[in-house]
Amino acid sequence: MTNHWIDYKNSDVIMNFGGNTAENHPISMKWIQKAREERGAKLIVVDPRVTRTAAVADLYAPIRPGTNIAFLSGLINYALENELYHKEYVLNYTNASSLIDPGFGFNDGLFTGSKAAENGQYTYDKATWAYQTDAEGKTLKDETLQDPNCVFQLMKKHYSRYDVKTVSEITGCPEDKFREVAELFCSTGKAGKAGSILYAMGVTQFTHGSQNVRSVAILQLLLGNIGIAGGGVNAQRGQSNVQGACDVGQLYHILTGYMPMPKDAEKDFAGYNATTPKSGYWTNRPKFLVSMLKAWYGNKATSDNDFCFDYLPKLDKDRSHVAMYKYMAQGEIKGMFCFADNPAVGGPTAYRKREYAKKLDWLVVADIFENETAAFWKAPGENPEEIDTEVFLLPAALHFEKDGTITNSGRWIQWRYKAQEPLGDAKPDLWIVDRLFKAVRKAYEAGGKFPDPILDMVWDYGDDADAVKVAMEINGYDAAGALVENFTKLADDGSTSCGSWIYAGYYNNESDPPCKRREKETEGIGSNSKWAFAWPVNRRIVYNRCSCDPEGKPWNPELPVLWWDGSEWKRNDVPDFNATVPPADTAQKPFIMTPELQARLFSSSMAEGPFPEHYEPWESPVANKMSKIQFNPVSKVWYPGDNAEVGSSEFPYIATSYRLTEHYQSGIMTRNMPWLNEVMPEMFVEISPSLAGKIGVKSGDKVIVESKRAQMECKVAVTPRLKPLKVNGEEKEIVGMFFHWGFMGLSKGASANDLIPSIGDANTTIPEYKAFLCNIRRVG
Amino acid sequence: MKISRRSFLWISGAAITGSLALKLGCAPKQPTTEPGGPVDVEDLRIQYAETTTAICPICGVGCGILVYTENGKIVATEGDPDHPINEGALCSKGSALFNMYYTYNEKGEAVPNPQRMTKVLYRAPKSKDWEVKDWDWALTTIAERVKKTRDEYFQEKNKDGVTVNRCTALAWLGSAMCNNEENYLFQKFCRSLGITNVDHCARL
Amino acid sequence: MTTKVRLIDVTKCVGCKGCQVSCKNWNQLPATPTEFSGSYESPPDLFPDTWSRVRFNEYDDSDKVKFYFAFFSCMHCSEPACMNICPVKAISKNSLGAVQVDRSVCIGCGACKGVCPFSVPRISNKMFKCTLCSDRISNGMVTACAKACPTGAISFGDANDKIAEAEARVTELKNNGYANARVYGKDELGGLGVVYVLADTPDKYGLPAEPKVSLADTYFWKVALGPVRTLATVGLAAGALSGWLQMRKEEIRKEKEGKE
Repeated sequence: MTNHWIDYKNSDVIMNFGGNTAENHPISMKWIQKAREERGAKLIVVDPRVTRTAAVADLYAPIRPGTNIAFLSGLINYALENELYHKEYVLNYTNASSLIDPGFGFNDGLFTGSKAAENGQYTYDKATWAYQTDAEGKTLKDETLQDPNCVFQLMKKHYSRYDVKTVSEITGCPEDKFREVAELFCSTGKAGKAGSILYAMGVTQFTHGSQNVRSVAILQLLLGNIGIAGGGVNAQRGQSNVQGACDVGQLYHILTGYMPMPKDAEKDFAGYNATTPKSGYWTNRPKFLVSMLKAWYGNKATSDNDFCFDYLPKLDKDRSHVAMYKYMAQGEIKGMFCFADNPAVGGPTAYRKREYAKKLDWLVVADIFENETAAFWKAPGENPEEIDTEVFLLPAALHFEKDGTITNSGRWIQWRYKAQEPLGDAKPDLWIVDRLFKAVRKAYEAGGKFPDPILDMVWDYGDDADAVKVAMEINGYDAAGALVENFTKLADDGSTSCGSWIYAGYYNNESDPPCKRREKETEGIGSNSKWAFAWPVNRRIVYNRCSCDPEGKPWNPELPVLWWDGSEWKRNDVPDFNATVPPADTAQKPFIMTPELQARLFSSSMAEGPFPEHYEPWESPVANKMSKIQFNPVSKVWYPGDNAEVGSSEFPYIATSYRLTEHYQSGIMTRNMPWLNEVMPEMFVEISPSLAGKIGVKSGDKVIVESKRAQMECKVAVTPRLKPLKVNGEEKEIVGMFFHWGFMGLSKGASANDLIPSIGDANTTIPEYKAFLCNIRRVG
Repeated sequence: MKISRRSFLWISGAAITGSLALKLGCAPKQPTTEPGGPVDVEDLRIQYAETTTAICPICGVGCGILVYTENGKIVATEGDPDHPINEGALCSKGSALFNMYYTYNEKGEAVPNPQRMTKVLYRAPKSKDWEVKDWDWALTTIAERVKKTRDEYFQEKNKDGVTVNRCTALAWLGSAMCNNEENYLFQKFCRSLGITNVDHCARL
Repeated sequence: MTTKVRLIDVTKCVGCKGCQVSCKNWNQLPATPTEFSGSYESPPDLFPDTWSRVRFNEYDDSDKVKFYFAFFSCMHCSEPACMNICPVKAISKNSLGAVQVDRSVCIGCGACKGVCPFSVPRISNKMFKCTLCSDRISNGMVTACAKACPTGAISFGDANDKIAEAEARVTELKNNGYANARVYGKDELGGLGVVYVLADTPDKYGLPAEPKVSLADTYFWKVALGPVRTLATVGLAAGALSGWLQMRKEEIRKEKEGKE
């Protein structure tokens, strides 16, 4: 999130787009309700079905799963054509005026530089996706925004194709509904008005998920809704610490604090540092990397040995979830650890996770309940006698049986205290990983393959690992050996250490660490700056220079995040810019994390192209109306032929998956909680009355749902909350399904994720859980 | 942090600072005086409980939870009224957290959730059942397996002679359900062993 | 006259069931086994161990699909039919207006269930229903359901304030095009301990449009329970009654005598 949960109360228009706040983040409805009661705010919901959020919305618009870019592009076009964008904001804070290489272009679904590759896909040479520069390398600009090669004009040209009629035909949203949404949301494109977009997996879980997010960002930038109170691009995280797990690097492609993993091509420390961005805040990356290496390798890390940089493994290729499992299937992976994760239900094409686990020599699972991933050898239809994998299932402590922090979607790092001892032999994950490491290190003390990174690793958290000691290491130490105040004090000479630079400051003193603070705000804009700690540097709204005009006057004086009083900056939040200098100096550089120091309406960093373009999902009932390119041209196809053909008659219905308020993710936690099973007892799918009529079922009947990959049997709910959508003039039915069930636990049921394709986004590889094709029929 | 029920009940909304651990001697009995006449103050089942503050483990909102314990056992959970985000409110999952720890049997007695994992379990190749093991055995055996796999498949240099120090035969899935400090140690553990197959449910 | 009421503003409810589970959590109620009933509503009714629930209703009205949620539990009537019919006077009303059952007195005869216009009481040897969290309220807390509610759809407070709040909200809703919006519970059955803000007619939320205490039911239960009532009042030892009932009866007699 650029903003935070309480900040919802500052919005004038809130659009739930690809999220379902009432069902998946129910408590935040408190702040939406407050915005409505106190500011007369309006709530828009764009969703394939009438959700519990839509039930209380002021405006609901349907959308066909997998057509978010078309919808958002339609909104962007509406704002541009009707001049509803925030002109001063766009001119000053974005790269709208930057001139792009005259060779850049777009034709029939492909940007310039495309080259055909395997499986009908493409690769891009991005040479033309670049700025025009002068002799000194400075980007050329046209502040009048008239040059046909300026970003703004290129945008207008690209988006003009997304007129209301076209968007309606692609998305299935009736034209009048679309216009209502456009008018209402674009009403925030002026000073003093705030529009917020709340999203979740309904934006990200597509083969074009990250371009969906970019579309959201582009729209919000055009409307001047980023950096202001009540605005933002707000990713509502589905799990309590998904933010934090990313922040400390539990992803294949990053180290802590979003520093990229070293790659083979970079060769060494110098090669890695050569990839450091040349401008923007990331120019400090060497300080953060060296400080991390010092935290990990202490005195062993010296400038002479590149701070043990070579101890870090180098990344050879994509090793994300889908890729990793493919390598497992191919026999490359022999041993696996799985902590509090349940891919055998939660992963795409989930039954294959169970199948591929048989290829492992050994599997270690730590969880609080016996999950399907650990019990794969007992799955219905399996013969354990034919399965050779050794499985260790370690009993983990529950959340209130241990100390430590978790980070919410608003980047608030909050301390959670231990309330009781773990039951039986259960142990906190911290204890487990600590003891495992010690056992491995002991094994290597007698020798082994390159034991140095293991033997030299700083690992001293006490006999029973103490979360406070780990927290202090993550926070880091300054050159004097004291807990470092924040990341501005980190150095690249080895004098400082810091486990994850963005967390520097969260535990910067022992007596009153910021992450334990509990002082609620009594007046202000809801920042609650003395409650817990928000990374970075306790900033609650990022890019907040944009909350003011170039002179430092808040766009909305009633909700000032910061303001220049003529001699200094006053603040309701921590400035995201140099606040020691007058506003003119920072007006042109409000986005300190980008090399341009401005927001990118045009970005060369995306795999698909500088502007988002609509492509159909991997499985789609229709041909792409926008171009000859049916499907994201740069998405990696891991399993060619694993998808139903376009407009398949065998799988004629659009399928989408989602969650329930009453259950959680793969369900292993909540399906073992009797109260939650009482309030939502069984797996079911949802269909419209018209589809129910077609296949002859009523609510409560049993159905078989099948995709190209698998089938499942469960009950059906017939509901008017789902309706067929008119796509290119033809009615298309939607089957909605929950993915919370599996074969273990108190409440057992079919796993919808068995049906999901293992294909992902081209930038993030997040699988396409939200749009695929299926058939549904009555049992018997 | 341990806070007193007194502050939770009567000065809700005010800031609570410090980290005093107060064991409640007795509940503050303040009969309500209402238009309908005074009401007998009933016993409150948490009146002698200690209160610990925690954060809900479910979604990314980060709601505050009060965990009541007696004799070191959780006896109740509810929303933290002083938490700025949820102000005491909780959804169905947040309201059910007690059930993850304890369930009520037919007699209405709270018993530890019988589904919980409380023993180290091991499944040998081809076995149809789990065997109960102890931690020492499990830690030593897992370390042996890790070392064997790593030693067999560790790659110090790639074909171009670049130092890569990785072991692609190992994989690690961390979790959005674990604390930051835990995930951080996962990261150190993985990278020190040369693991590049690292991911967690954020990708899903 | 009730002094405190629970206000349910269905227009703010998002159907999260925080209230429903929070009720079970605070009142230490075992889970009730359920099956998928065809909608998000579960359980499909109240049970001895489920004292409150959210009703889900869906309507396909012209161009708008309506998805209604409404918390439902004991209405804590100002003149409770259950209390009046109870043969052993196990049901009473406290000064907050909460209708309470004394299970040490209750004989589980089910008369209360038979006459309740909202069919709230549930019998499992004894009668079980919402207590209005009188333990919490008497300690200065709000009910568990109101505490959990994220959006202010359930609140608890002085009757006059809450009714005024409800009326203001209904005026606002009517001005916003909700022609059928109304307050429910203010006048019904002489005033309920639960007041609703409804955006549509009561039947759309599963509430009786005109709740009545059926005279026929009352008569039936009076006749059916006549002997019990007589026995209980006069205190005759009847060999046909179980030992348990005798014991209860004796206690009741003593209590009666004590009062007189």
